[in-house]
Amino acid sequence: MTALDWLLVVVINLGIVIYGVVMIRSKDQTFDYFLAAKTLPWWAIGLSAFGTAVDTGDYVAVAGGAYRFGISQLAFWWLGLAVGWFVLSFFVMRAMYRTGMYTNAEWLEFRFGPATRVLAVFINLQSRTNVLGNIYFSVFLVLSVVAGIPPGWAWAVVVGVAVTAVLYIWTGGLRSDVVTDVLQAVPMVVGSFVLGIAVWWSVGGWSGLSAKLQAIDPKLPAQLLHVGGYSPGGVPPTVVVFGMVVALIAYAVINQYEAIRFLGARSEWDYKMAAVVASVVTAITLWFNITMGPLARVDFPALNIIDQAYPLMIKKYLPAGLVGIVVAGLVAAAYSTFDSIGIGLSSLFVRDIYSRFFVQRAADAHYALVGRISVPVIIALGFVYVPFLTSGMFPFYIRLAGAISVPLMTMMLMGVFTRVHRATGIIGLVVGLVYGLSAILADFSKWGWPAWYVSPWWAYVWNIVLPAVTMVAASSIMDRVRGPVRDQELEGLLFASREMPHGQLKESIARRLKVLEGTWLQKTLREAPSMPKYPFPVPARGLPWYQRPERLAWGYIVVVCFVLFFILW
Amino acid sequence: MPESAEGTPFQHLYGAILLAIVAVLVLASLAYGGRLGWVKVLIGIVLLGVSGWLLGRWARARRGRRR
Repeated sequence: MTALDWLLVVVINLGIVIYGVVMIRSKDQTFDYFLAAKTLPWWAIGLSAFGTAVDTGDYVAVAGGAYRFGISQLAFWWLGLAVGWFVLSFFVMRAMYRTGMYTNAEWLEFRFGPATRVLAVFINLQSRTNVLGNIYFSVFLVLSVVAGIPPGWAWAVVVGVAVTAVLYIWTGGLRSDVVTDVLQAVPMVVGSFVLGIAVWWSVGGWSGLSAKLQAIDPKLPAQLLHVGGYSPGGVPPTVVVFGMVVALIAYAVINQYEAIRFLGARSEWDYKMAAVVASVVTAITLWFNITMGPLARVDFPALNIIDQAYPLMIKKYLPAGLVGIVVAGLVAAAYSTFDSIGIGLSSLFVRDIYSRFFVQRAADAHYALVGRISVPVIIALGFVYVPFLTSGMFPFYIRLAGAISVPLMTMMLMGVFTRVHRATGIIGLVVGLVYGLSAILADFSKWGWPAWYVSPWWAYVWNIVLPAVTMVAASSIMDRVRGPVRDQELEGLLFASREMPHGQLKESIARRLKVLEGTWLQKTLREAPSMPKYPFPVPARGLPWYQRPERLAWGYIVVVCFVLFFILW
Repeated sequence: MPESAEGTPFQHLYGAILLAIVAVLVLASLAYGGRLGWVKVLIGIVLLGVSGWLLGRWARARRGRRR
């Protein structure tokens, strides 16, 4: 990297950081710090959700994964993540948003009890600090491979990025997170586009890539250039693709650091529209990132560390100036996820652990301060994972997500869509976790158990089926023993809950749990403002098609399914 | 999402200067060689255009305040 490239990386990223620190200030109120006082518009939430979901690991690790597994990952990003955002915004979010909750774990206690709330916090903590570790390692690889700087200095830069991200989250909370995410999304998309154009141009397009892969190994085009081309250890490609789709649906549904920006929306329409924006921007960017894997296989057919594929392609194809733009995009991707994980996990810690179990009746400013203090601790935890990532970040993530995140997603969806008993949540979650962890143990210990049990891809199937069936069975037993669930227990918590006046709903929720009586948590629920469904007046003839997020979402799904399962399968 | 009506013009000025610096750096990298030069020129022109637009907004807000 030339000095000019370094200057570009520093100017772009430091410019955004200074903007976040100096120009965006949050009041010392948790409503403002954690939810941006519910003022966020659709385009900002959408770009922020994109910036949050796509981190440096999703350039480096995704290209590394595609280097080995091929473009099957498109199903992961094009369909899984989009459907996850649609499920979150069209179905899961409604009850949380209307009842004035700050976190998805908070909803879990109302629906399934305190144990699920605490477990959800720990699952979020594990999966997101794992992602932080991925990002640290990705930035380190980019700096050491592309820039050629010594490992010690590369790690120093990684720590510097983490520390500066903490600064603007400390001062501006969610608002600062979202505004900087929007700004960081620009170099992310441009960087991805620039490298993609340069490499595709040089390789000679799809036919050129296919011919070059064929020359290396005649089997490679079928394995790497088809969505259904990856079949590890005899697992059918349909199961692999299903696993990929479920992995990112789980990501979007369970993660507080995604949910929090949707909860900060100025209306219900805004967070639905945001899901469409996020899906489209992600699809375009990830096309370039994923196809970089097979493209790298042409130039570097025998990489030992597959995650080096993306940095090596930058080094080979881009001239001075453009290297700086792409690396600035990679660093921006790190920032946009660091800050989101910081504010998301901080909200979980404050609302679902600290104020729920330790200090229940302090002043609001006290909780805002605790939120700020917890951010640097959370960001530091990611470094614990770094030693485990050298064999490839993507396989490690896939393994843990299937075992741990998917049971939580299944429980949440059962809670949103069905009337299962309150006590069944923890049963379903524990059954899923026990299966998932036993499969990991059997796989790593080489006990010789069958692939349908230990394969990470099959875990995505079983961790939907097992918790769901267990919850239905347990609920039907409870129906017989205790009688069916009372309507008052579920009021305002299901997707299909009847519409209620805001004041009545708020009071019903604030009084639902005896344990919250007189606490700060109860006070904030009671004071939650009533938010509109639309941020503008709706004309009598209805909204035009381009302002209807449901139609846009369906259109997106139909197009993506056609491309994935007919053109690229 | 402006913080306040007073803060917005300064934010525009800040954005305009930042984008102009990035544009100049990208265009300056043409001195290292012409490979993918059209991409650099395109990025530079777009950034300068957006920078100019932000500067215009800042100038209009400033004139409005003086009146």
